[in-house]
Amino acid sequence: MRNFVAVILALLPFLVQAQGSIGSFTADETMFYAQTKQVNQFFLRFNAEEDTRGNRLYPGDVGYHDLKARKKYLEMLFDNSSPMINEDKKFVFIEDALNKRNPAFLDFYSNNWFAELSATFHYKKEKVNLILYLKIEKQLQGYKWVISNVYFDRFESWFTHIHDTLNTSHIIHPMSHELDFMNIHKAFREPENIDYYLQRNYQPDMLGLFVMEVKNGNLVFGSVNTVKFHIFQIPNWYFELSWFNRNSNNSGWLISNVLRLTDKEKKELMRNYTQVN
Amino acid sequence: MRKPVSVFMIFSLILIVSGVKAQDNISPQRKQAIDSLALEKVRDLSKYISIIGDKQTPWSDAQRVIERAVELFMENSEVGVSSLGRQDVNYYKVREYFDRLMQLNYDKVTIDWYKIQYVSDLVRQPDGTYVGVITIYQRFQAFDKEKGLVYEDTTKKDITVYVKRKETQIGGRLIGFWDVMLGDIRVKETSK
Amino acid sequence: MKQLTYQIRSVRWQQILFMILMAGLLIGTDGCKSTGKISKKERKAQIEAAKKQVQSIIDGTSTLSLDDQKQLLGDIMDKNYNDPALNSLIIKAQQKLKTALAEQYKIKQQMVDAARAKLYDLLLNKDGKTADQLEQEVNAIKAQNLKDSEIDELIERAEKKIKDMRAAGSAVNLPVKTQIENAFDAIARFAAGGNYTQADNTIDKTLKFFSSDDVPVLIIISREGTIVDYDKPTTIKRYMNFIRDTKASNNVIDAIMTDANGKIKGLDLIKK
Repeated sequence: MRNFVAVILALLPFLVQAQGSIGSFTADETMFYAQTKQVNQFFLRFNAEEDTRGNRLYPGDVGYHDLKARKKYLEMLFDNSSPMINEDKKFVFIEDALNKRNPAFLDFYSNNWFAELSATFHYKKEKVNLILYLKIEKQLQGYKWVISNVYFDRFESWFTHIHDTLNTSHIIHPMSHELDFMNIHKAFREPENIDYYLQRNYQPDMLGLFVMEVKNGNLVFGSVNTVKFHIFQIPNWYFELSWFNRNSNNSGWLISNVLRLTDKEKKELMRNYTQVN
Repeated sequence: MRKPVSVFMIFSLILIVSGVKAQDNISPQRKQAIDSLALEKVRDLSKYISIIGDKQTPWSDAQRVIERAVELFMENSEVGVSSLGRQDVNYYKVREYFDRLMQLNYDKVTIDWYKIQYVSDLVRQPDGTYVGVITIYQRFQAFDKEKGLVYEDTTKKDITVYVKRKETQIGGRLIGFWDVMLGDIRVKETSK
Repeated sequence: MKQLTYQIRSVRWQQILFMILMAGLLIGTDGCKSTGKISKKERKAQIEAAKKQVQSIIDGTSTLSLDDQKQLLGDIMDKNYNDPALNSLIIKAQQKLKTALAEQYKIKQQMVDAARAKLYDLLLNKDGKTADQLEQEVNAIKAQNLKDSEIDELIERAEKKIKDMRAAGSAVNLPVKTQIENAFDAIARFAAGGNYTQADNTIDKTLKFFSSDDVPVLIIISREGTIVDYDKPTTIKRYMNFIRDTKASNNVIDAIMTDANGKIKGLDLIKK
C-alpha cells in the first residue's frame, strides 16, 4: 500500500497531464487521484483495466489484467479502518480471487451484484426509512437498473406469525370442510392474526406490497441517503462496497465487508436482495 | 460503425432482429474521441459556472451564459446537492441552480476546478443511447468585504453524460454525429 | 546543414594555417638557397612531403576543402618532380577528386532544388503563413549560403512579398482560411480579456465571409479510415458565440465550401 501511494505520488505530474484537465487550480490532489472516484473505477482497478494514471487499458496493452498490478490495486481497494476485515481475511480473499489458474474478474453487465439504497419515504404522512435493492437488467439495445426487492419494517411486521409452527389456537380445524368452512370467519375476527392462517412456506411478496402502497398514495418518495453495493461475482466470496468520504488516500468506493461463503449461503443471502418466486 | 447508408441500415436491421449483445464494438480510438467530446462539454460547463459565479460578470452576460449552460443539458435535468452536515439531498432544476449561483449574496466568489477528472465507461441504455458519468472536483470560496473568507468547500461533482449517435443531411452530405447532452448532476461535499 | 557550415569553416581555418606554414617553408628554403638549385636531399624530402599530401587526398583523410585539394594537387604537378611513384599517385588523386567534386556538386544541386521548391511554396503561401513565419523560412534558406543566382533571385522576390504583406497590414492578403482562424482566435482572446465589444465586432466582421448566419459548421472529432465522427452540427454564428462564451478557440479549419459568389456555405472544423 505504501509503495502504491509512493508510485502515485511519483507519477503525479504525469497523472495531471495524462488525465487532461478541466481546471487549472493547483492544490494537493493526491487524495483525489488515489480515491476510487466511481464504482466504475472500482471495477476497472479491480480488473487492472486502467493504469495508475487513470488511463483506460485495452486488451493487448501492457498491464491489462496484469495479476501483479491487480494485487497491488486490490490491496488499496479495502477500507483500512473496517473492523470487519482483518489482514488474514484480506490476504485469503486476494490470494483466492486472484489465483493464477483462474483469476476472477468483475463484470458490470453480469448478474450477481446489487445496489442497496437507504431512502427516506413518507408513509401515511410519517417520515420512514426504506431500503431498496436494485440490479442491472438487459433490455433491447442496452441495460437499466431495476428494483429487485424492498425492505420496510412495517411490511415485515405484518408477517410476524407466518413461520410460527408452535401456534395451536389460531387454526382452521381439519374437518371444517364438512361445515362448508362456516367457521372461517373466526380467522378474520382478529386482523392482526390473519397471518397465522397462511401456508407454511409462504414468502411474502414485499415488492407487491410496495407497489400497492405507492400506487395507493400511502408511500411517497423523499430522498436517497446512502448507497452501497453487494457483490457476489467472485466464486466463494461475497463483498460489500461502500463510499468513504474522508480526507485520506484510502477513500471513495472501498470494500467495507467481505465474507467467504458456500454457494448455498450465497443463494440464501441473495434472497434478501432479489425477489425469488 | 457508419458504413455507406445501405450497409448501415442492413446492419441495424440485423441488430434489431438478432438482438445482438448490447456491448458495442467501437474501437478504443473512437471511444477516446467520444470521451473527449463528452469531457469538452463538461469543460464548457465548468467555464460557464465560473463565469456565472463571478461577481465581476455583468448581469446581461451572466444571463446569456446561463442560457448557454442550460442548452448543454437534457430537459428536466436536476442538480442534487448534499453537504457534510446534511445527508438529505436537495434537488434543483439546472436553471434554478445557475440562478442561485448568480445571486449568491457574497462580495466576492472564487470557483476553482481541480485538474483531476474521471470519465466512466459509456454504457448503453435500452434505447441505444450511451450513458456515462464524468467526475470533477471544485473548490468554492466566498468572501465578505470586512470578514474576508466566510465560506469554503470542496465538492465532487458527478455529471451524467448522454451520448447518442445521430445522422443528418447537410448540403447533400450524410453526417454521422455524436449528440452529447448533460444530465443530472450529483454534488457531494468532500471531507475537509 | 549546420554541420556542413561548420566543416567549411573548420577547413578554412586549416587552410590559413597551412598557408602560413607553406609561406614559412618557402622563406626557409629561400634562406638556404645559396647555389640557386636545391640539393638532391632537399628535392627528395620535398617529393616525400608531396607524396604524403597526395596520399591523404587519395585516402580521403585530407582536412582541406575539395577546392583546396584541387589547388594543392595542381601546385604539386607544376613542380614537375618527375618522380614515377609520385606521378602514379597524382593520377589516382585526380580520379578521386573528380568523383568527390561530382558528388559535392550533386549535393549542392539537391539543396538548390529543395530551396527552389520551398521558395516557390513560400511565394504562393498556400498554407497561409504570416509574414513572420515566411521570413523565418526565407532566412533559413539564406543561411544555407547556396551561392546560386536563381535562388538569390527567388529570395529577393520572397523578401519583397514579405515586405508587401507587412505594408498591406497582412490581413487583406491572407487566405480566407487563415483570416477566419485568426478571427476565431481573436474572439477568444478579446473575450478572455473581458473585451466583449471587440469580440462581438470581430464576430460581425467575420460573418461577412459567410453566405448567411446559419451556415452549417461541422466539427470532426475523430477520423478512422472512412469513418468520420462529428460533434453535433452547429451554425457559424452559434459557433462564434460559443467561442466568445467559452473564451477559447479549440478547432482549426479542415475544409471550406464556397458558393458561386465566393461566400462560404459550409465549414468543416477539426480539433487542434
